[in-house]
Amino acid sequence: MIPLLRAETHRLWARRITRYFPLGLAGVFVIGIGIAWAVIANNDSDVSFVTDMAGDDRASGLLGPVSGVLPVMAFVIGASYIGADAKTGMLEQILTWEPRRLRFLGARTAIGIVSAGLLAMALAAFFTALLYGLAAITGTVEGTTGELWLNVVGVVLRTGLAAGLFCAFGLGVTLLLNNSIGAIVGFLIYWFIIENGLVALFLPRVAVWLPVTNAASFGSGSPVQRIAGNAFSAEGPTVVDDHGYLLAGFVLLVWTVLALVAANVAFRRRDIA
Amino acid sequence: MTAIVEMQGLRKVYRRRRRDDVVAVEGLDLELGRAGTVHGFLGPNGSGKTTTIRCALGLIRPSAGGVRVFGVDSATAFHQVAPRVGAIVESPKMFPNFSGRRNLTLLAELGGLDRRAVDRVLEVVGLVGRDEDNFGTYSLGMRQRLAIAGALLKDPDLLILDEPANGLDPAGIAEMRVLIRGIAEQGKAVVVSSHQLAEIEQICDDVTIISGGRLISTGALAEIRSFAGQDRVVVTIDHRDRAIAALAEAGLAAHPRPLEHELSVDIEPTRSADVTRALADRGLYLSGLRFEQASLERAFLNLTGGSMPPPPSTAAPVGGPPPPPPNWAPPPVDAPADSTLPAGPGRGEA
Repeated sequence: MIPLLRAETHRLWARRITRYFPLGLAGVFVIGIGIAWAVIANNDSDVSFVTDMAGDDRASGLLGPVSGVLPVMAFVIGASYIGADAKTGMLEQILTWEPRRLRFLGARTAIGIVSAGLLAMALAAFFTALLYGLAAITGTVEGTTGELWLNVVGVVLRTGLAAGLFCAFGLGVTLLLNNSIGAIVGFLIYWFIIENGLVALFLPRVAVWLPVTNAASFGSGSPVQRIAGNAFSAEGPTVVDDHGYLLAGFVLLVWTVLALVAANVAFRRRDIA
Repeated sequence: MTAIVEMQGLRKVYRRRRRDDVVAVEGLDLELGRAGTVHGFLGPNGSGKTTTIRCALGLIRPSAGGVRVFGVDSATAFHQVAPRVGAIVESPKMFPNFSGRRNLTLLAELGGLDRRAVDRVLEVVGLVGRDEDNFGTYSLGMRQRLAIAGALLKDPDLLILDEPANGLDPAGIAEMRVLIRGIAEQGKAVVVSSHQLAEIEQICDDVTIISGGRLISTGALAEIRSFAGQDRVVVTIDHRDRAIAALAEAGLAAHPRPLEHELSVDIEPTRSADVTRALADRGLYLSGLRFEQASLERAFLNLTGGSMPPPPSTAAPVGGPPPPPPNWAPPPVDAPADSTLPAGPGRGEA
């Protein structure tokens, strides 16, 4: 198993998307913070790291601006990890070396989870550092306690875990569809239009059990929320908490396991031709 | 000597949505590969060679029957023998954006092999110096050589090469021949699938021919070549019909060939003077004469019907009649209609 894990690690990290996608995101973060700095400096406003950036002393709003991007990155890495092999025919070559498909998929999933998780954590930490620097230059970092930093670490770790699971989710979905481009485009459409749009608006009780919503909640450590009531109810539409971030993490895990189990069943029955 | 790959009743049907299913391989009972020999696995395009190889490698699941490689069922336990089997299936498959060396290194890691194995195989296939270039920049011949290097990495006891000479220039093909023969001489079993019969003929000890997913013939090269009939003398002459009659008078069997002014005479090349004498005695003068040896290509054409096979048959409904047998024993392309092929090993085994 060790040679397989080692080979899979090198195979993933040798891929350009694994290196350049996170680097590109890091660049976007820098540009974004640069723009924010220019705006703040122009307005002569006074920002606070704790209240304006971390959100609160639990740091639940810390990664709000990038919380959607990291799961997408992880999904794309997972999808292309298996999709590129299938497209180039390398999968066929690899399976003549390691024909046990469950073992192969297990190793690949494990490496995907760890690698995407580490990348997401690094990016989350980098973004936090940028925010802290921006606050230090343009406003204040007062109120930053050890407890807050502990919460920041928790956010970063959970974001990494959520991204890792999303990488496995992407890998599973791609294997099921047998098409990486279809999986990635389908995921983006699903995320923007279906989960965050249609289902959230019209089926809010269903939306709280969907993967991206729960991933975001788990990462930030804030509860999953839904819209209750409507314009015609006495109190109008209100946002209420549905379940906590730990249950959200469990929901995400269930989605990932379901995708991987289905992918494994399909993969083991599939003719590689 | 025991064969390494054994197939029994191997059948593979590809299911297709809204279209008829395709029977790629139909009831193959076959043995391939013996240590120290090269086995040619021949068939027209679409005859089921690659499907058969994929079944042997556990990449696709047979619809019925099975393949045993080194005695284990390849569909369920190929992993037990995978370290002993090196293969190229259909075409070289590597990452285009990785260098040749990186592609090989990743494979070597997968097998827990020393990186020195990469240096060894790069040297064997003659890619040292180009190994740091991206696979995507390689010519087809170089890709083919890199794929062979990948197959050789494990130092396998069984090497399966699907169309290894594709895209190679004449020098490359000659090198490939030497390479494959050298591997067999090290005691390894090599199975080479190809439609380049002249190449196969020069390196193979045994030959199997399939067509339409069915076994046509299998045996030692000399036995298969016997299906080509005997050596012939081909004559170019203006008055072909008169020439055939004249040769018949002299006791020589001559047959018209597809070209208008050509005929062939079933005679040993050493007796070609008999032909010229018989014609000259009757005032007929030939404008050309050449020898045509009984070749694997001619045997192949005779056995497979002399042309491309019909498209793969569609699956019979469950419980329905089996598909009709392919036309596996037609007369030679230039033989008279009433001539028959010599009986040979393996005929009718499908």
